[in-house]
Amino acid sequence: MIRALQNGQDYDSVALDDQVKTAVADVVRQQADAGVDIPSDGEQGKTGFLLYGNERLSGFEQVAIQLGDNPRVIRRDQAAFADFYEEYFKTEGDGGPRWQPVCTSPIAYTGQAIIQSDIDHFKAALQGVSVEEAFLPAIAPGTFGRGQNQYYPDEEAFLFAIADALKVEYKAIVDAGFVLQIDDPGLPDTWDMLNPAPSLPDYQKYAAVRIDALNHALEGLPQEQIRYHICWGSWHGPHSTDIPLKDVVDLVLRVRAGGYSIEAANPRHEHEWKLWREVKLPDDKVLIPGVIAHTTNHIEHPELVADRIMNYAGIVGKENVIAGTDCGFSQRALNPRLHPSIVWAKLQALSEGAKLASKQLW
Amino acid sequence: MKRSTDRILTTHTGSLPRPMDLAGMLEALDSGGPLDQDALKTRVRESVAEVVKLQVESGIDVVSDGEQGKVGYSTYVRHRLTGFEGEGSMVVLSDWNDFPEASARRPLPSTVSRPACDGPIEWKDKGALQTDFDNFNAALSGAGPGLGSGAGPGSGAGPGSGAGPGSGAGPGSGATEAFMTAASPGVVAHFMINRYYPSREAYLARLADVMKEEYDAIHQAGFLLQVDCPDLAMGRHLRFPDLSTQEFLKVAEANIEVLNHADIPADRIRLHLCWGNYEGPHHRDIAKLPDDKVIIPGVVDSTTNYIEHPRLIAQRIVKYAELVGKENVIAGSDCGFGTFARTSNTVEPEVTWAKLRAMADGAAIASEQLCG
Repeated sequence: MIRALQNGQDYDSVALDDQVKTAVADVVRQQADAGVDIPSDGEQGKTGFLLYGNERLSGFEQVAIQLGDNPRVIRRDQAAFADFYEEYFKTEGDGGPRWQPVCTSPIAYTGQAIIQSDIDHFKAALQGVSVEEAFLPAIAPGTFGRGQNQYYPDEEAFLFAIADALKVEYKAIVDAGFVLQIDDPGLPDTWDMLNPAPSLPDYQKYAAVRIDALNHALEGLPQEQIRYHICWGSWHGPHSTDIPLKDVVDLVLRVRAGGYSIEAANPRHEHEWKLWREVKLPDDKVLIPGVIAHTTNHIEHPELVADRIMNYAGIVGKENVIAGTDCGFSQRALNPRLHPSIVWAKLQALSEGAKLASKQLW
Repeated sequence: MKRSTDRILTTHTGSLPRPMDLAGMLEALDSGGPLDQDALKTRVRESVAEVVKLQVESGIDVVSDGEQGKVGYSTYVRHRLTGFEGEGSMVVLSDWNDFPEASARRPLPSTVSRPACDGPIEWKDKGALQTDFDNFNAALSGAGPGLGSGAGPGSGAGPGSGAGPGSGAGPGSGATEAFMTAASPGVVAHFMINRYYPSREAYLARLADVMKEEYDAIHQAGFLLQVDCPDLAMGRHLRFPDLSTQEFLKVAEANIEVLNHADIPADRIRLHLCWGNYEGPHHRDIAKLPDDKVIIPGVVDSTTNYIEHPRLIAQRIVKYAELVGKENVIAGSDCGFGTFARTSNTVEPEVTWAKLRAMADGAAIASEQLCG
């Protein structure tokens, strides 16, 4: 059904809504069973963390693209590892076309009914489980809007139009009492997609407009109810051209959020925990480092999870650390990164590791 | 064995990717398909020269022949020894079996054959060993100063003595030492089960006697011997999932006992241990490491195409150095990058070389921190 939804084919919307409701109830229960304190709805009704915006924003036309055709999807490390990518692209994707939204008319939020249904399903699922808090993710303007503008006079106007539209969704999530998670992988990961390669100052300027647009959308919403997630793209490649966290951390900290969720448990970014010795996390903020990865079937040992947590707690203080994941486990509904059974074992390891760390810290 | 006296040395586990055409020839050798033996010999010699050169260029200090001529790090012995013609049995991936649905997504295992032992084990092709030595020596003599044959004693330049003669080759200027891998009796028994000898003990004892000749020959040829013993760790969940831990430790002890009867000085042997070179859940991995003199922790992973950041590698090295002393740490890889010759590698060859370069960079960063 999600495939039909994604490809603009006919589907039974009542049946889909019903299945989503059941699926959300299941993943919430499973998160609680695995010991996750702050669960999400698992984005069960969404085609993808980014793609879902297509169903909720007007002003865009969908153009089918093939993986590899879209210049924005070309990563700079593809030049250095051409043989690898040739093999990798055979396994990547769901076989179907992917869609690129192109903006050709004014942007507005049209997803009021869908977000209400997300909220209702999540609330229903949370009945009867015991958790500390609950969050719903939503896409950042800067990650949704990348190079598709054919209507607004400039990129800034385009981004602020997306921000105005998404604000409706952000506000709905916060008003429903949930923590709002802004997903913004585009902040670091557009770096090695741009052609020609930008200088660092130019890229920081490119990103700063996107942070401004996001802050515009977040204006008036309570910071303590907002967390901001970044990662460097969830594909399983060398990642050798990822921009270092130190080059974007100032931008990250400019986001009007109470918490920052940052990929930190894979071979390319695990070392960056030490950066927090040099960069001060503002007093009222929480850090949510990834301590388990979506990039490997290896299940992290709880002691490794605990070690990673301890590294952060030692720098920013234990009250300011929440153990998180590097990224989602199924960024697109049709192309999960790991098999569900392994995901649940990893989340179990996450909560066991957090218990071990808590024992040492308290 | 060279130690990290002046800086953190780098090495890896032994196997490195083979060129596609060579992997194809080795698969033909293994399956008994049509094969031009002379072409194979030539290609192996060329590939050993190539991988030695690439290791030196990547900044690897303690290099191997990349096992270019071997079909797999353990089952290659069946091409040199008699007695392995029986019907084999696959290992049980007990960790994957805990995730039956997910296991449908796991990559196909190597098709390298794993026959059982069904007759007396004797040497049938000692020439294969000499060929290994000749190929490796030829490659080393073309790969930079300091090596050619048995890197003599004369390391020992104490800290502070500055530019010691002989050793002290800076990163990238050439290999510091050369090692050659050989299968432990235990890992041979792990992959190729016994259907001939009256007991597991008798089978291991015979394997130990025969393999001793290979170990001694490698030592006498002047190479550092690496004995591959993943059986001590991965044997737990892949071959003996049903034993209690106590019972498994008995099996492992028997495997170690037969190993110890090679009479080669301990500082000319290193032992490699791992939990199975595959990207599975691994939640059943047993954790018990035998003591060793120099620890060669894996600081790059052979199951993922993510390239470790040099700073992460440095952090990993420093962690071990703080626990056991920097002289006792050599940076290594988790496992081989071509454990079985196959035409499709878990980690692409070009990514493998980038990982080894990252390891050399990471070791340099760690050395700066540790050795000032």
